[in-house]
Amino acid sequence: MPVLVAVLICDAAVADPSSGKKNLIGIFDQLNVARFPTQWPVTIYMKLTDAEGFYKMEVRYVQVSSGQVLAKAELESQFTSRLVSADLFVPFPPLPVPSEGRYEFQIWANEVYLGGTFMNAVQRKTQG
Amino acid sequence: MAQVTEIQRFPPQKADEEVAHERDFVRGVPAGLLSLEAAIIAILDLVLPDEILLGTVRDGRLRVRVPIRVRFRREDQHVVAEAAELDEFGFGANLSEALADLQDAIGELYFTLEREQGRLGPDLRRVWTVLQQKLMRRL
Repeated sequence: MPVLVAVLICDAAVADPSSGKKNLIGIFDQLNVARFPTQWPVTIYMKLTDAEGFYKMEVRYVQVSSGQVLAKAELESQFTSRLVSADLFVPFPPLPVPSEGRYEFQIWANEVYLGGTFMNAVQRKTQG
Repeated sequence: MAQVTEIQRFPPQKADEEVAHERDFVRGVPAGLLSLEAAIIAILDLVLPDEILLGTVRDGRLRVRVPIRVRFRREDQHVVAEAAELDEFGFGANLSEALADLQDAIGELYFTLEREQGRLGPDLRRVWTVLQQKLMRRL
């Protein structure tokens, strides 16, 4: 089974054209929302290792309180050796955030759950 | 604290210079997205899959070799995650909590049975055998 080394939510993931190094811009795990429902674009970065062969990967965006899958993304990855790792990212379009609460990005490989990360959507406090 | 006011990009490297990292990203493609209106309608009831295959436990000392089959069911206000082949359960207010509870329970079970393996009865010996097939200690 692949091992999920890291999974992060950020605004954008870019590779530096001169070095190929990855840059994650605006890592966050909380969304402060003025008014629900709303939508917000996110990018999911994943690092996987200890895998060999072909994997059909899936990222599911789930509202934790209801278990509802609100969005998903698919990608295919070929691992040549268990000793190497792979960097993957998914730039989601604006995702629905119907209400305050916890939202999970679940990582699946060949229909096996590998783990995930959470984003909390909270009501923005008004000042004054 | 110093503030970064300008970010400069390094000039492109020459062919004979060392490069710390040049592996490409693998890019995923969004394959399905509920509209905001549909998402609001869809959350009226708790959605539970019948079962999933679990490929991780929340303990850095352990690695899953063979996925663990997990079934879900509702009991009153709680969700129960059951790994029947290990006779182990997790509970929570939702699927994520129940799954995390089960993952912790499986990790604890592994180390308890490993420690007590010389004194196990037939049922727990069977569970220990299954656990050894499913999980391994990281080196």
